[in-house]
Amino acid sequence: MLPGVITRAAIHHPHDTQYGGGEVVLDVPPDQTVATLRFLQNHSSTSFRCFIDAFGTDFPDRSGVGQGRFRVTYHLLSTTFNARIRVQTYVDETTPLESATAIFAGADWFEREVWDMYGVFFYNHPDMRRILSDYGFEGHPLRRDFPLSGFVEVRYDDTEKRVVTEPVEISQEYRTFDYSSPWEQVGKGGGVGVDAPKPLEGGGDKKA
Amino acid sequence: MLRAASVGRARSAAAAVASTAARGVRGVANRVSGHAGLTRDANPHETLRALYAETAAALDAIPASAAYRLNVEKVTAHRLGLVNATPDVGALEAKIGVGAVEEVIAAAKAELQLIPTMAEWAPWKLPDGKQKVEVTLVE
Repeated sequence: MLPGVITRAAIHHPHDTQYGGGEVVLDVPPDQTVATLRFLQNHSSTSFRCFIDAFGTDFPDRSGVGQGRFRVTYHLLSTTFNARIRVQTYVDETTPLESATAIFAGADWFEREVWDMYGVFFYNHPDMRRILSDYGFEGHPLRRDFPLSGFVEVRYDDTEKRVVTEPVEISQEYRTFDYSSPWEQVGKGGGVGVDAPKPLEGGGDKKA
Repeated sequence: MLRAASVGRARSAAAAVASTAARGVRGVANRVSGHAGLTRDANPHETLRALYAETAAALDAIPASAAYRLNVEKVTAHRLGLVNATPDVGALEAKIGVGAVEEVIAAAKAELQLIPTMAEWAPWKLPDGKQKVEVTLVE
């Protein structure tokens, strides 16, 4: 029904664990998000009246000109038909998206989070400001080029009697943990590649 | 599309619409049970007939070949047929199969509101050089 607008439509079969049908995902151009969401909300055969989620994803491979490195996804639920759908667009750092708050009030804080974490701006948003990061924080933390420990660290300074922000100095080097086993892993270990012990020939020790 | 479980409910002919016994917890008269915010419609058949007639008229703004128009016409005609054939409200709800009749009314109103927006947006027009996208299945 929207051939001029949808650039990709996919059904993710493994995502629907309950009914085995799959989850529909639609790709649309950045200027068509709100119109598509409005259609999905109001058309009687779709009736996706429940707003579930909006989030961003950073694909650093797509940093080239003309490609969008940030994917913004909207997730809707239809309680009438017990169906879910995702609508997504790709934008770069400087492309603004229209806010979905015009049609879904619940999109408010989710769009603020996408702005705070990725830097994707939503126009016509009633309150576009940071939501998770510290006041005066600079940067968009969930971008792939933002380091894990950040650029600044905060501490209370007794001389100045206030919290100060300083460039980060990591005193402990980064440790990586293998969470698949609770025991410290030394040696070859068991499992793949190690033969199970064979029964002794001659029946083993026979104790009288 | 998956069908929602039909909402069966007893509607006695004598159920007084204005009686205080019908007031819900917050004193709002005439709530539809199980659907917060919906109040019962006194004559759902009339309301639906009027809405579907308006919808059919509003659809003239959309080209006859558009899939959207064909879809809305099909749904409207089907539901209007059921409305005319089923005088009992509970049976009508079961036949339409999307829940309470007030939800059907709400859906019809939403569709009516959507039609002018669709007429202006015209998503059935393919931009130059583009083709219809095929649905891919990701395993």
